[in-house]
Amino acid sequence: MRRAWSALLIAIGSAVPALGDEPEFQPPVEHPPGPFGEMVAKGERIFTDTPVAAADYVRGRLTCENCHLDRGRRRNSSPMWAAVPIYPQYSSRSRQVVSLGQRIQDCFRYSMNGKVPELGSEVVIALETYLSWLSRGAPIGAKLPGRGYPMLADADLDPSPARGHRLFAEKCALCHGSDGQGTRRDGRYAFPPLWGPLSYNWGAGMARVENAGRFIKTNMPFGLGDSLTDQEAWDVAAYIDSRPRPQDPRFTGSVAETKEKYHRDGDYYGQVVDGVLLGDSP
Amino acid sequence: MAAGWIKGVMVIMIAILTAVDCRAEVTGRLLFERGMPGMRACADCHGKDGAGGNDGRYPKIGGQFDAYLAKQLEDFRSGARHSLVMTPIVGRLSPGQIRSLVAYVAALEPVPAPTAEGDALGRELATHGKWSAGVAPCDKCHGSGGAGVPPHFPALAGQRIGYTMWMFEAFRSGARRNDPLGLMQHVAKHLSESEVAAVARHYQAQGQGR
Ligand code: HEC
Ligand code: HEC
Repeated sequence: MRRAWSALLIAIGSAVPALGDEPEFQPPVEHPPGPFGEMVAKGERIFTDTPVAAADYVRGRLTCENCHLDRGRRRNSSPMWAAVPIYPQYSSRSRQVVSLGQRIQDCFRYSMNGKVPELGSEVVIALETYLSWLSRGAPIGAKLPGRGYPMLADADLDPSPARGHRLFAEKCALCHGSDGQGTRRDGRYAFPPLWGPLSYNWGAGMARVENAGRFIKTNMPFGLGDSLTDQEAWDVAAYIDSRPRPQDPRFTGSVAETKEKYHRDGDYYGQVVDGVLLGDSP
Repeated sequence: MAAGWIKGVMVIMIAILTAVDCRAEVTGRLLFERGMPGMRACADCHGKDGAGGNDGRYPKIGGQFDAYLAKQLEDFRSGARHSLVMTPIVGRLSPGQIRSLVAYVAALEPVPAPTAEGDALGRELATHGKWSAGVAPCDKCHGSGGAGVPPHFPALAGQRIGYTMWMFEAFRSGARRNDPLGLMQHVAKHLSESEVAAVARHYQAQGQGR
């Protein structure tokens, strides 16, 4: 009897295609009509042109789309359709369960280094509307294939800003500039600044070397994702995330204390790299 | 007294600088429009206003960014970009003549391209790419409407359909390999012929360069 069950399970198992070719969730394409559709369009505009469309709430010059490629639709680029179904969720950064709206607020606080728009404000509602529309038909609570940024293999060698610097000059500077400050065209950033006053702050997920490495591995160089080795992704992430960037909004007044409280490991906050104490600029 | 003296020197300096500047411009224009003994004028092929022609056999270059023009001419010279036509031409030019030409061509007013039908598929590829095949949107690198993102990403707006299609074929076959990181070779290998035609129509329809 037991045998029969396991035979059946094996049969079912082999009928299910391997993970790689599982049909992926397809987000909708055409915006819906009416006032709902207008809000979807507004959200998409904020998502792709954040410093202009939500100017009051950002100090950085990144867009949501810089980290979530193809308007938040791209697999392995932390697509929105795979994130929305798993909110509300416990956030280790906030140390509490947060709603989708609160998670959006966190992006403004950290990744956009901005001012937090209120829940119920038009900016938050427009983004919630856009993200939820993208996720129409996705099963609530499901961990969908293509979600997040794929894991990296553990680094063979300790991630090295020095090796990362060489790789950055070779493969990243073309777009982001050799000073990492991005490339501007007619007042907008065609390619975003990766550190310095206009980039994400020390509280952002991207400031953690592993997260940046995972993003880079699958998505960079732009248009040539998945071409770096895991070690190269670790190294170049270590370089980018060991440059100065805006202060963590949770700053307690002391770098040492803030490090102890929020940056014990996984990032370069509070360390001295190339003669600079990181986390010491406003 | 001292102020008058300084003023005098400045006037002379400005006069000299302007003269040098004009000479560079004149040289650029002369070479472009008239050529020199043993070298045909650029305008013979690229058109007096740099708008290109002959069904895209000659690219539009007028108004293109200086850094991109300089890189291409250098690549023709070094052989990094192979061209039966352009390599011998560039080989006859001195570095100074090349600088004058680049400045002259970059400053040409872009003229409206011959009209082309807007193309829905072309617009979709230009603005949203074809991520399912790993192709990023052209506009993300070439600027919105193909206006270009200096110094590395050339303007495509108003470029001739025939030339764009030719370059895609060259990037795909490896006949042209001077694109940094192989970015365009990757794009060209992942689009079909009809998609390339669509996006080429789209950019010619964008009319003006810059
Ligand atoms: C006999 C015709 C002819 C003449 C004369 C000519 N060109 Fe060209 N040019 C071409 C062709 C054809 C190409 C396309 C490239 C290829 O052959 O691969 C080209 C390409 C170029 C390009 C690269 C354009 C791009 O978008 O990448 C530049 C820049 C250029 N020419 C500048 C010049 C200048 C400056 C002169 C004059 C000194 C000149 N050309 C004279 C035919 C000509
Ligand atoms: C990831 C960035 C990137 C993307 C995406 C991209 N390009 Fe390019 N493209 C470049 C770069 C860089 C060059 C310059 C190559 C050089 O320096 O020789 C270029 C050159 C070109 C050229 C040659 C220009 C000339 O005057 O000779 C054409 C045509 C072109 N791209 C068309 C396209 C089209 C159409 C698309 C979308 C289907 C596209 N590109 C997408 C980066 C990109």
